[in-house]
Amino acid sequence: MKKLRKFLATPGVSLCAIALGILLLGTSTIGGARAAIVYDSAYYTAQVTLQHIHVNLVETNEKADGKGGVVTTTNTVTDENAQTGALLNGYFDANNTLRPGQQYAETLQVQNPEAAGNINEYVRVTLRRYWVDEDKVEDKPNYERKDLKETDLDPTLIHLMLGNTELGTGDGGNVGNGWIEDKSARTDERIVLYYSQQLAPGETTPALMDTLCIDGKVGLKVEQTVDANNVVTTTYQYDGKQFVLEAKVDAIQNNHAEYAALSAWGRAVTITDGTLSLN
Amino acid sequence: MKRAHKLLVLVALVLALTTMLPGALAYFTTNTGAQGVGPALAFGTSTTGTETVKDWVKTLTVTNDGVQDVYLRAKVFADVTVDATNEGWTLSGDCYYYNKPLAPADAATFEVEIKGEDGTVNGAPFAPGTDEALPFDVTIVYETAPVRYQANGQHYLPADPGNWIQQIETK
Repeated sequence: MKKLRKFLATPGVSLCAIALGILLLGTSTIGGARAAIVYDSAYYTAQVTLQHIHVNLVETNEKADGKGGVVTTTNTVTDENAQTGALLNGYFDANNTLRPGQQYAETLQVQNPEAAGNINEYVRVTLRRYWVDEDKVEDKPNYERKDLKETDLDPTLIHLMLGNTELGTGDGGNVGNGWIEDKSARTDERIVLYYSQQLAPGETTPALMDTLCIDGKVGLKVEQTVDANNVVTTTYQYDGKQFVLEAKVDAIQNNHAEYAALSAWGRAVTITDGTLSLN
Repeated sequence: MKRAHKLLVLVALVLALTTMLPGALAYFTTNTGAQGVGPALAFGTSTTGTETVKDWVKTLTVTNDGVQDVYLRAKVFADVTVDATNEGWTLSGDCYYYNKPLAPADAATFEVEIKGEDGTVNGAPFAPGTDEALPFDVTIVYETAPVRYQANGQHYLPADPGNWIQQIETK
């Protein structure tokens, strides 16, 4: 017995015993038992609707195909009626030539598109009119044409009408259909109109303009030069010129609209019972 | 240490002042726009008139060489009796007006016929009791003016006085 204990106490035997134990444990098919706590709660859902503000510009005129509709929109939802983003697209052609003096039906409106989350809004429209030279404007996309303005030609010969009222003339103020012209912002080229009522989603304003007319005087404005032989050369100032019409729509939220108008538009307004008026 | 203490006080002061600043506000705003261009205008009136005489009839042919429609009217000055009745022309006052605007490249004719009467042979005046023909003149003067349009797109009638008093404005 004493010899056995002595044998077992030797380091070599101890090491062998440990190695053997590790080997047996590693190859053993006995696995440890485990337990995990599992808990499933009921499904809880929450829906959050983010508010949006969007605005459309709507054009209607007597095109050859009789179509009209949304010209441009800020609505990221696909608008099937949105057209090219260009006004008067395809309006004048061989069947409908531009005649100075003739009035052409051209209606512009503003729409708050119907879409989830859209808020009520107040809107304003800035109209610009000017002349460009056809030789310079060729192939120029929208909004680059303003760099080609013929500044010595008279923009007021491009008449924009709402009923019997010519926009950009007179004392401004109420021009009809709930639109108010800001006379302080008026220039020969620019006309700024504010819609006095809130626009709810899905609503469209009445027309802010419905007629376009080029003054017949454009054919009478000439430049004359006399050479050394007293030969008089007459040049028509508006020969080869094209008129440009721009419409820009701005929209602000209906809540705290007075502050929003001052901040975004730089224009002081007063809202009384939901009706906007200019200060 | 003293410097570090001062720096600490300064930073604390800056932070305190910063928290006193009012918050920034943002409003819902948006905008969109569109632009359109009209066709190029074309101005320039030019006409050519040619005259022929045959069988006691003087014919004036007026051709529009310009780029815009024009009104046309003619007036006859004659020593003898003439007949200037033409289809497509209307007498108003002392002028004959072409009934419709003359478009570019189009032409209109105006005929003046010398009419026979007592003391004339084939309309040509003769000294009474002689076979000697007397000289005579038949002059046709014509004038054109740019067409004017009404609000409904219709042109003004050619004889409208406003057509013939249009004045150019020189720069």
